[in-house]
Amino acid sequence: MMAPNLFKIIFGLIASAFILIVVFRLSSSYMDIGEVSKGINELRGFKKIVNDVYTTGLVSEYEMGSEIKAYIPPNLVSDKGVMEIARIPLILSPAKHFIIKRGEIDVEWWKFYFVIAVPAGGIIFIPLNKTAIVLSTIRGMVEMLPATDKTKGKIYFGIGCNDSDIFISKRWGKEYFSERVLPYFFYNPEFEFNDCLVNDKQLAFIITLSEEAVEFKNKNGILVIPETNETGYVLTKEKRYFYKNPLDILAILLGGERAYNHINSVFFKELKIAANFKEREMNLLQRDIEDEECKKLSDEFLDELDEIRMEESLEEAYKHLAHSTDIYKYMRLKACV
Amino acid sequence: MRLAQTNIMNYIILTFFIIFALLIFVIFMWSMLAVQVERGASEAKLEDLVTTLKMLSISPYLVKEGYEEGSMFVDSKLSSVSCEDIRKIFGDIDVEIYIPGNSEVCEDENYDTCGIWQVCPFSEKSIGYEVPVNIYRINSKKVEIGIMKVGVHV
Amino acid sequence: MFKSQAELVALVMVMIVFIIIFSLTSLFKNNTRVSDEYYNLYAHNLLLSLIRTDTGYGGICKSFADTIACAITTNVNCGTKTCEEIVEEDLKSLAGKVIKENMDYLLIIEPEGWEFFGGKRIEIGNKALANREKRWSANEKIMKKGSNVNVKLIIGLK
Repeated sequence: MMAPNLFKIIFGLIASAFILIVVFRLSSSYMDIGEVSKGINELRGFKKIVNDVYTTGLVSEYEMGSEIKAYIPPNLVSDKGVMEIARIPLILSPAKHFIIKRGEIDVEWWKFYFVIAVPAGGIIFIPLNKTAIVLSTIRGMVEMLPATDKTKGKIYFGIGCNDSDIFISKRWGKEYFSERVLPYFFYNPEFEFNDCLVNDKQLAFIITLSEEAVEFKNKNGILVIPETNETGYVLTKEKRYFYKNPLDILAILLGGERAYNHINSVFFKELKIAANFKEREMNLLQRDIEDEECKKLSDEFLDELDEIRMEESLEEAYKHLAHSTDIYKYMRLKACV
Repeated sequence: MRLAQTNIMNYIILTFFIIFALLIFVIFMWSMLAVQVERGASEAKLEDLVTTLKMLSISPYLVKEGYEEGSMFVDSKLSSVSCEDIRKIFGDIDVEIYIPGNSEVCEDENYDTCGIWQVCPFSEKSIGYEVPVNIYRINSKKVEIGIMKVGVHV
Repeated sequence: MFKSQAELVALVMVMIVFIIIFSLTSLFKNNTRVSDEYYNLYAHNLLLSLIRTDTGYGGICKSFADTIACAITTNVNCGTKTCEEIVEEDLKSLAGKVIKENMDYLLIIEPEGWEFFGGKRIEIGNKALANREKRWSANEKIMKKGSNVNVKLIIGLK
């Protein structure tokens, strides 16, 4: 009777070992699936927030367990997976905690909407010239960034350097910084700013501004060389870019050359489509225009739209865009539209 | 002896049966997961369609200036958009806007009186969602109520 | 031998019951998230479109929103009808044109702070919707000098 019992014990042990191995293998792959699922769900949540911000215009916040490493249009890439965000122009800086805002470029007869996802943190400006153009450029950039009075994560601003002193505070949100801090430092002859190496790891971005191309110390940031209130050049440690609005500067700052090329390509594509639609609309409406001056302005406006549609280069198209904006503004003033 | 043999046989069969039942259970779990993933994919498609509805509602190509909350379309803008360009921006969708009770299909000449804008006409294979919207008549400066339908091909 | 067979059968039956329960619970998980989002959007758009539509009367009754404000605050005549009559008539006509066939609505109009200060309150439509579990609603505020008016639209499936 020993033999059958012994057999049962041995057989039972082998069978149990087999079952345990199978169960272990399954649970570890389920855990992997669970982890990936969690990561994908986070990306899905991010995509939903981006969609909501784009369609409502309200600022939102999103915190993730995993990090979004890059936005390679149209895909968001994190260590847990990839998710497509098509149709919405997005600029993003790699992070886990984002403040997300809808921005717009308003050209009077059309608006271009886009979304920026900025990591919470401090942003330092180092103006090497205290001039009206530099002040206006800083204000333009600050204006594009989200206000964080109502969010948990904060985007705050600072200015430097006075010798090696930097002035920054977590209470300096976008409005306070633009209305109070900037004028105080710019119009106060006590403060002159020089370049210095900023080592604070808590800072998200460092932006140096100068009216001339200079060697700048904070090579992980950017150097902005404004030529007018709206246009100029941005230098990174690798390359030089032309910018025509603060959106270009932010694109390079947040997402580098890829973001700059992507947003310009989307903008150009949509601009041509908008010019096409507007041209057709103006042709419809022109039939009912009786005023001679309005007719003349309308013809001029149509010519500019035509040039925009035909242009191959965005830089050239932008010149016609600027002119078309002026004409349309004047047409509005004259109640032609 | 015979009894012992029968016992052992029973035991072996029982053990194999348990393992077999476990494997069946595992196969079922995997197929439920597959069904869930597929359902997730179709839910994502519907969610995309709702997002497209919202995007069109606020689109500067269609909406009157000053109405950032959206859904106030202008008749002249509706008559100026082309399906090809709309699809370049919003993807492969069908879009129709119409004013119930007005059966005049919109062409260039009648943009200010017509009531059906077939921007990208629906086909029999399209399914979609619809929402109420407003249409601003640029000549008479009146606001009418209408419906926007957005769909995808099945 | 019979005992073992009985054990086997019992085991298999238990497994089958577990599997059935599991699959049924998964299958019955309805696609409600996207539906809710769509119907909330629908309610919001319906209310917004209604209040912005012109009534055809002009003056203080130019838009549906103007007429609503008039109905709550002053209720004067526009033409031969009172504002409240125009609101009721126009709502039935406009909502009838655009609302889906399988949907019902209830429009509630009241002055701001009605819960504390009272005042006139108008309800038009299917009043049973207010207590229904499966319903979607949208709110708007009409700003008029003197007093604001809260408008709530509730929709539900018939």
